[in-house]
Amino acid sequence: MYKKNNFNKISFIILFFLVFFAPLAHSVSENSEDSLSKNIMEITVELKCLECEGQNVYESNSNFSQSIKAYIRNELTKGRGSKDIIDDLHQKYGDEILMTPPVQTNTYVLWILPFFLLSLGFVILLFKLKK
Amino acid sequence: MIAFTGNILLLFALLSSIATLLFAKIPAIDGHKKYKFVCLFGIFQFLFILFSYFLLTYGFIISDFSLVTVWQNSEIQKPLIYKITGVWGNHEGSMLLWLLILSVCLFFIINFDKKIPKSVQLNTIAIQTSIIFAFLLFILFTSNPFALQLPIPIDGVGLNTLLQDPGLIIHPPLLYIGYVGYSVVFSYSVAIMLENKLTENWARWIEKWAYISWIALTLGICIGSWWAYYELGWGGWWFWDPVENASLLPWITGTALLHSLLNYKSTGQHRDWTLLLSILTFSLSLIGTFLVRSGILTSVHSFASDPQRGLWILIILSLFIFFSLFIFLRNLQKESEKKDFFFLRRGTFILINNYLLMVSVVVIFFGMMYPLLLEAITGDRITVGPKYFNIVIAPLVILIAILMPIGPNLSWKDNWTQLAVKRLMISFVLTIFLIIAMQIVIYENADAFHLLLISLAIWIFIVSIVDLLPRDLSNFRIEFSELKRKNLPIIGSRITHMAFGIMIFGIIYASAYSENKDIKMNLGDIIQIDRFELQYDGFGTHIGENYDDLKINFTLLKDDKKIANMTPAKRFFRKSGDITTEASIQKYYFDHVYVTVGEVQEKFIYASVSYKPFVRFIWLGGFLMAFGVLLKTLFRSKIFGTTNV
Repeated sequence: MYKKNNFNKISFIILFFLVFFAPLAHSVSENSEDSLSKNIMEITVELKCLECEGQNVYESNSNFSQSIKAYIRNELTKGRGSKDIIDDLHQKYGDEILMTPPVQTNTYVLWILPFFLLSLGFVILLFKLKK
Repeated sequence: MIAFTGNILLLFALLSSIATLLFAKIPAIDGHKKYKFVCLFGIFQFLFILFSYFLLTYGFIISDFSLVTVWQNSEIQKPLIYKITGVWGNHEGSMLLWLLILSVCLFFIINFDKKIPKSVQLNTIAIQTSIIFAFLLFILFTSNPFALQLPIPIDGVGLNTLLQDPGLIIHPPLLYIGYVGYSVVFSYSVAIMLENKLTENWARWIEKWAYISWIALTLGICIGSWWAYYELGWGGWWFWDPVENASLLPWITGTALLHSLLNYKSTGQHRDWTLLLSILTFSLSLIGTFLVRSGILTSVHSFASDPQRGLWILIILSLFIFFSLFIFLRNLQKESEKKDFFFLRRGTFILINNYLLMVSVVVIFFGMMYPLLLEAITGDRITVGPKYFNIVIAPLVILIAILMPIGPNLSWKDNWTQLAVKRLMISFVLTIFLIIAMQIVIYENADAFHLLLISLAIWIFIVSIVDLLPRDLSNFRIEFSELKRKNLPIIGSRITHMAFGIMIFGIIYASAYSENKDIKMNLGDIIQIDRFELQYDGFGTHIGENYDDLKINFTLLKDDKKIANMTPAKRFFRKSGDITTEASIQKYYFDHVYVTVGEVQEKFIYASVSYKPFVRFIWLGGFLMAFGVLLKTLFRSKIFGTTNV
């Protein structure tokens, strides 16, 4: 019994270190054009192409997407942050342009339901086990 | 001529299905004769539909543009293979394929399921026929592939250019076999419920079809995902797009059904739930078709939609769903005697599995429909994109991944065995070592979340392998000699679990460690992507049958040594003027280097280059999953109530 507990502890510690120190790996230095196009990509995958069917701005080549991409490139070179740019576009085009719905009054149900169902399962299981 | 004959054949098929239904339901005729007539007309349905299908294919091959469908979706110059498979590259033809598979299933029910009691079989045939009947009406009234037009145009409009691809040859039929295969599961379940007294064996009749459909659906989804990966040109393999979700939902309930059937076979519990799952799976196939065909949900993959057709499918699916649910509720058995509930039982784990899978179904369905509902109620427009699905599905996948390898180690009847504990411990240690080794060898930048999922994928993989080791190591030889026919089903299910681990590993690894560059390149430029260098060598042209390629040449190098030539292309279709992007993919062990080209100028190009480590694991996992279940299907254990299924 003693042995087993010890083993669990050690493995837990190893797992703990693994999980939490892994992110401290190397960082990459890049030139500015690379990081600019990377930034554009990161922003545009978060935006829906409002002219297309189920595509984001990054994947699409429609007029809408191209103008948005040009706008973002322009703003980024002016030195504005990604978050500001997304906020501006959100202001202008409304919630629909965000690929991920914001957490707000009309999406509470959407965001809560999955976690509610999951917890419900736990409760049922615990209830059954107690019986 | 083809139009006329085709319509006649479909009409005959319709008449045969009416005859089948009449004979099945008229009480006046005596048993044996009745059965004979029903079978005869059932086979007639199959034959008429088969001939009409061949006829349409013939129309495509000889490019008979008096048929509207052929004119709209084909052209003289199109390569022959795409004329044959182009039959299902459009709405009308694909519905005819759907119908054909329905009737093939009917043919199999009549000819190969002989051991089933006649009364059940009769009802099954009747229900399957009524599905065929509904779809025949649907085809004749809203989507007739034999619609005629005069005067006859000289050349056709051509196939949707994205579809002219080997993926078209195999992806739709497999997917449809999956969807429609579940119609048989549905028909049997309803027939079984109509027959009030149940025989023990019903799970076995359903099981075969549930397995086959599951295999086809899995392969269909995998190939579809692979196709989108290289054809759509931005290197994604899953977009949480409505069309994809529509195929994923029946896949998930189908998976729940396989497990629930195992549970029922071994413990005799949860009969109603199992039957409900079989109804639900086919219903979801229908709902998926409805959502996609009606154009209610928009998608990158939808190629034909029309609201009027959607209404028809809505009517068909409501009728079948309500009818089956009515019969289900009427037959609901009260599982009266309270059984003790034990956590560490295989049956309990299957219940948990079913719960988690059903939550995923609800969540995905809800996420898919929410924007529609919200707009209808409040007028607010929102988008529910991939990130939402990833966030809400992740906890479910984590739980499934933790529990899934443990379940098969448990017993149906007893508590933990010493052996199971030992095996799980060994697996746990091995998993830890492998994760450490991986961290040392491939030292990369990951966040805790991805690392957790990767660890869990390895966990699933290891446990499933360890589970295959002989029970008693001192009797190694004998144990392995038992790895024959008897154990193949067990091996199959372990392979499937293992393959799920492989797939999760691929998905997570490729999304966490991919590197992507969108870059402007001049002639001779070399860019660095992970451990590789890619050099731009200029472009050339290539003339295809109905398209011209602008091929852009790259050399892929590693440590200054050439690995491969890569030639992504821009494909110009002469007829339609469409341009598609043809990606070039180079494999390196389990990794991919993925190159597409955007703008091409005299002096420079814009290239999009990605390195996707372990991305091949995704499809390898998918195919192995199907293979595992195939083993299980072929060598199903014949005995009921065994603990070792």
